[in-house]
Amino acid sequence: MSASTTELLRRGLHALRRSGFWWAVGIVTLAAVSVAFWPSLEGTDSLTDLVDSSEDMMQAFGVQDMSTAAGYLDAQMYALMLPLLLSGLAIASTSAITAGDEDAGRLELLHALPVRRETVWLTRLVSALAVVTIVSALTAAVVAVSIGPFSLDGITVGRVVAVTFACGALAAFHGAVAYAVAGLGGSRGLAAGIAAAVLVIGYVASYLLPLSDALEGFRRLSPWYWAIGTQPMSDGISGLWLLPLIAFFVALVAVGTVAIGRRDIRSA
Amino acid sequence: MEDVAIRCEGVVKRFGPVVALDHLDLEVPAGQIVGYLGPNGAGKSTTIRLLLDLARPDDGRIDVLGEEPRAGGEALRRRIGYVPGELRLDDRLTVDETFRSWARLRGGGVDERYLAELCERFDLDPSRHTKGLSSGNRRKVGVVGAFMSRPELLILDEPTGGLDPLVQAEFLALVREVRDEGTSIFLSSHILSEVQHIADHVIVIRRGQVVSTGAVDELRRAARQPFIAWFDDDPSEAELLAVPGVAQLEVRGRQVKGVVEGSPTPLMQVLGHHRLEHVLMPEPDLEEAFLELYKDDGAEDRSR
Repeated sequence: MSASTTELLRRGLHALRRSGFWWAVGIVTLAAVSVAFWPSLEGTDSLTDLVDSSEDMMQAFGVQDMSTAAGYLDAQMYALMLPLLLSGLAIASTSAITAGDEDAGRLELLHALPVRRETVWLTRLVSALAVVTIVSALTAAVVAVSIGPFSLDGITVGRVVAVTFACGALAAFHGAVAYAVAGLGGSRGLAAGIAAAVLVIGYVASYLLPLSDALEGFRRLSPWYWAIGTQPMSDGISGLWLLPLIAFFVALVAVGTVAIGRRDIRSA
Repeated sequence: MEDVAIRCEGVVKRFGPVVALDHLDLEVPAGQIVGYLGPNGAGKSTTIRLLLDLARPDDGRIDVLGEEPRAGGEALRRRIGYVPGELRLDDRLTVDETFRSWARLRGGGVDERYLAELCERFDLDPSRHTKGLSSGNRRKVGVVGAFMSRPELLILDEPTGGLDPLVQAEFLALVREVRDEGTSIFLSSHILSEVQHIADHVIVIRRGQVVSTGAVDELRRAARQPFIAWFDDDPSEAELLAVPGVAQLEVRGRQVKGVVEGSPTPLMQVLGHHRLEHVLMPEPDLEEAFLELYKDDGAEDRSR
């Protein structure tokens, strides 16, 4: 890697360190609190009764089975909250250091320096995804070390890593949506807004539409479903289903990168 | 080295329905200081953005140091130093860290002695954080950052705004020095005095088109030359008004004020027929030549 690319990555990470820190605090706290509550909730009938009594509503929030540690972790984190938060982090970070910096006029001087535009933009996406990776790794580590102490029976470190990776991949996909919109010339608000809309629509297709049997097929069009299915910790991750997610990710990054090379840079 | 640092031929740039540059033709000879003058909104910054490949022309040809900006890419930009009109800095770095970051992005090292000398000359403290720097100090950071890599071509967008007169003088001295070392300088400004005293050539742009170009001396010759004469005898207003080129005549007793356009010879001949106490022809301000070019619709231009 050339000195200028390293410097671009340094600058990108530097720009994200404060917001990234607080996202990390929030997400890791969610993981720590979730696993810590399992021993006191394990075996309580009221939880399973609650799930049984309003099955549809619970399912809409990714809750299916609270009687096992895997089902509990799916309900508490992996089916909804973690992919949602990691995607939010990816969208916010990517749109801030691409379109956001362009809106503020901070890219103009950078693009006047002897570095390729495409390199500048790719390093910014990489910086944002590096933050997602760091937060994901911390979350996975917290859960992995808690398996023994909080008696998360049936959970393996391999499963924790795979599921967290899938959540991170879903986040990277949504970051790439923001990146593509920013590359095509969208403002920060537009890039983040469109990516958030894709995120919500994907959730609806994967969790809400299937409540009606007739609409269950739409689930297969959702990035959420490709990444994590509906109960990732219970069912595991399918590498095959990750393929369309990766293909879309690559395509979106290509669109954003080619577009930024072809258009004018906005002046503040 | 090419004879021409910058050449634009028939360059058109539109932003939606607005034509920012309308078949712009200009040439910046290598190794010279060229002033690029025009009111705000005339297209100066747009021109600079095209030269740096921040934006691309809709039509026409651009040649910077022998290369088309897009094709030249980062290799071309390595030969260019740029001081933006408004410098947005990363607030979390010190001045020194900012310079080092730029040097790494340029893919080169730092000439420590030269950097220290530049900071010293501009009285810039490298250990300060860029956050909270005054606009003048930010401007100094931009100037030092552009000069420190010793580029072949310097593109300066309104570089002395916010600098106090002493620093401004230091800046102009530095510009002359690097010119003498062979650097080409393209200096955009709407402040006439800063260009008048330093530029070898001046290009005047209005509404995206070059309206005048030439050596500062030539432009000055085309300018209206003010004159004041104190007569020992009685001046005749009619006689003076009949002189070709004389205008804005004011006769107050034995003192006559006015301007003469073009050659002053006919005026001098008429004055020669009189007994004079004193004649003063102050150096014409470039502004007068400049304003003349905007006479028809200057007000409209300035309101944009």
